[in-house]
Amino acid sequence: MLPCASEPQYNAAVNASSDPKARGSKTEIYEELVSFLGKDWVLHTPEELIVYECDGLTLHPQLPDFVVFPSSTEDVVQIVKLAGRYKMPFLPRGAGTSLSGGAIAVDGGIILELSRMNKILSIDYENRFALVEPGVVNVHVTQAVKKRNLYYAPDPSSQIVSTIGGNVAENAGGPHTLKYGVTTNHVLALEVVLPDGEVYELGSAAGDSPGYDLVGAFVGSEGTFGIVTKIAVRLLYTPPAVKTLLAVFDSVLDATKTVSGIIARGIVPAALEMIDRNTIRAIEAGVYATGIPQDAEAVLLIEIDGLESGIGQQVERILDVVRNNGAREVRVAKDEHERKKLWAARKNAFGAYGRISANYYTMDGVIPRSKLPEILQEIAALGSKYGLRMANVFHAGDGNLHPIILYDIREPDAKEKVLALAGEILQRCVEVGGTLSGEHGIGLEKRQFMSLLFSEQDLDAMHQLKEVFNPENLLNPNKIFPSHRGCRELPKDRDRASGPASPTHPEIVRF
Amino acid sequence: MSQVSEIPNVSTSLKTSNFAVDGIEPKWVVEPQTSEEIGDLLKRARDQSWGVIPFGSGSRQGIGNLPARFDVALSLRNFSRILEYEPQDLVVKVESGCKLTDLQRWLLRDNLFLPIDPPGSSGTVGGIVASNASGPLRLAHGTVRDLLLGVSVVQPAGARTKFGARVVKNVTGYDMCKLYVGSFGTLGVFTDFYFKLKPVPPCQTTILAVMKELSDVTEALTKLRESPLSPLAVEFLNPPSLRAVGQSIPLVGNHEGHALVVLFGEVENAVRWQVEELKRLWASLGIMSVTPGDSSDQKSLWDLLSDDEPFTQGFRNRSVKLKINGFPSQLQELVQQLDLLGKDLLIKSHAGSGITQAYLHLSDSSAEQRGVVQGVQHLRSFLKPFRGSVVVELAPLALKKMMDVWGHDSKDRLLMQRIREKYDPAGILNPGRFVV
Repeated sequence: MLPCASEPQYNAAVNASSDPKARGSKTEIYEELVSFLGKDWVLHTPEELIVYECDGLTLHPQLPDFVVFPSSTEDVVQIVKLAGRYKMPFLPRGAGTSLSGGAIAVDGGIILELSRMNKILSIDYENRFALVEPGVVNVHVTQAVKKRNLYYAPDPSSQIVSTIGGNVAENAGGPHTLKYGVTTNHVLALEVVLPDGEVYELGSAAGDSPGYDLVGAFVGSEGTFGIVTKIAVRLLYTPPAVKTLLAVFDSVLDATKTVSGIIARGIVPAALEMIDRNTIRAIEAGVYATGIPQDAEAVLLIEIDGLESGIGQQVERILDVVRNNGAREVRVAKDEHERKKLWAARKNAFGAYGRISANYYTMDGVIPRSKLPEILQEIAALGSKYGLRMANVFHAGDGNLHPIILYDIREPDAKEKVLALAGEILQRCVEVGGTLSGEHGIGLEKRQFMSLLFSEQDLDAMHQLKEVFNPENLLNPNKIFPSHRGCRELPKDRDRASGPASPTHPEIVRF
Repeated sequence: MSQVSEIPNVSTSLKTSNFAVDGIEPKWVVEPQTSEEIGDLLKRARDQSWGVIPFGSGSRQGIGNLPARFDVALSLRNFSRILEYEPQDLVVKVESGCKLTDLQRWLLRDNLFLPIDPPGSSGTVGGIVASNASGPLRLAHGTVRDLLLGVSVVQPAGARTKFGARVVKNVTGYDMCKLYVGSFGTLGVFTDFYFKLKPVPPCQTTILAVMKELSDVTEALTKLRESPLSPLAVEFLNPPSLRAVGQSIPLVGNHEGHALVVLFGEVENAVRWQVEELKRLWASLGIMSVTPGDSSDQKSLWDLLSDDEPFTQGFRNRSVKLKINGFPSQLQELVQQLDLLGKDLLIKSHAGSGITQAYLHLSDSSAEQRGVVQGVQHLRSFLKPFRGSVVVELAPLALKKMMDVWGHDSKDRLLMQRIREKYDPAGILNPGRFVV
């Protein structure tokens, strides 16, 4: 059972959205928005808004009242001030790939869609940073600086569509964070618009800046502190050499021992990913089949990068560990084509589940690396208990799990069973010293679980920080903090029955 | 006035004079045993409006404006244990009063380390987190900001809280660790931390190049930056700094000029190749470079380079240390600006990171002190357009009284004041010293 802390009334202030008088008439607000944004950049009819009813979390859809497309910091300021005047909730949205509901307008209101603010404003090659707008797509940063041998390191699997602004809000990770860190390690400075409409510059691209680390506090605040309008991101030199290995194991335990063994040898791979049996089968049934034996229990995808001169030595050391732990087979990608093929299998695992299951729910939890063997066993046992199939494909090197629950929404109580199973898995993660999320965030999805990890005092201290930035709680309300609704009550579907739990962007690869 | 007997754990063995901050002695030194006791003390401090300064080794207490009130020095010397350590997780949980050197010695048994090298050998991990202290290795590993995974904090109002965990990747709620790094003891009292560890590189080698002209330094740095080489550290020394280092290390003693010192650390083949490649690249510019001494000589060299001592030269009480935050590309211009402060200024820069330290020694002359104040103002206005800054990390009392050591006057300071006010409305922690 989940512990039941008494829930503070964090979100009580925001019920203004259901009180039309407090909000002025919608027509009034619409006309005002149109007056400075233009008709084309304000959506308000249900047909237009339906696309924005959810992000990558499809279980709890909710229509916003408006979706607006600002083109500048000034636009953002005006929208935010308007929302403040009408006491209307508002929130930013990038590409909408959040898996935790960060971009869902739980209480209706205005969604600021930042896709028009998609310019790379400047690139400083000497000091290695780029100044970009929030709507710039992650991978476009790297594309812009590639010819100078530079790149932007954080690579969430959504990177071909997800935006830097969204990455900052969620502190996005990716498979290469093991060596290079997550978004927060690569953001130097921000321009933000706070809910009172004031614009602030935070941090600095020029060394440390005096005072509290407000950039650090802002990154990962899930769009509840302010709206980021400019971001200075660090650029790294592209490692000249990369080697990718695939090691096949007959036992999950041997694979996890290999993970620990590599780390224990003092090697920090660029990526260290694990794929389990159910995932292998799904992949091998699809177009990205790479010929992994279907009776294998686990596969490790190991990537190292660095200088040409040192990489051979690294590969030898890794092969040593892999063989000592009883790998059945090891492949080293001979060229970029083979490397891409190995990664394609990994990156398309999620698409492949569709082949073996009607629906699936991607979880995210993180544990100390040394607990991998026991937690994987427990996840399998919990799946059996609920009669649900599980698959795992995850960042083993980081201890960042992504258990996948395979289910069929048409079966009775499917959703309830899935959520109950997910809850038990998260509870186990916490019990072994882990946390609720390694990279997807809390958002709407996991706020009721926060009390598993944090005491009331902990949550109070976090909430105090939110009060500094977002005192009226109009910006992205009802996220992160447990609601005052009853303990264990999961977020309810609101106006309409829940639709099929198919991903909004099925083509996007997710980890 | 409250009586000594009213506060718990008043130390009988620690002298208040050893805890003076900017010449001000506390009324009491307390050394709590538990975080509950810290909470009780802070609650009492709030009721009595005491000023409380948490203390590690005190080695970085020189940083900050003068305390507005200072009643209680809160020593964390009873918090010095390593609480959890699992080598294969590359994570350690350690109490805030533990000295970095003790922690490193412990970790070295497994060939691991906390990859930071801040000045001084006596500093505690608590003090390092509070001041975000860093050294040359920040180029490769970042600062403690990038390595802190979890923290236990006694809030100014007394509540015991914890954030983060023993995991290397975590987005569960706000990233409170970032708020606490570099908060200079104003947002709570830290009792323990989870840190991310790294393996000690199997092979390390140092390269030293000495150049006549500052413009050669710029060329050498450009060449290095545009190459695929990935050094762990790149330090610049101006001629007086090189001389100061040379006094302790004979190996570099006979050199005169500007120096660049580069550290490589990786598998052996990669280090060997990088050393040869850098020598070749610099030779193409007519710059000769050497590998000074054996590995233990090089270790001593880096110990000196990361410390303040060689540069304050035993005159700590009369020394001024500036920490200048700028762009790496501006080094040459910055050094020229710094020359205006005095020709015998010792300058040392983490040249790849844009962080420069400048040291000078003052006499009692008030004209000289005013000159420094003006010089700092001048530097600040030079750096301000791109949000660079100058922090006066060390200065004689008389000079501190004449200036704001932080020089922080941009709009975001307002938010910082609100944060401080939110957590510590009574203003008991380090009043007057930081974010005022």
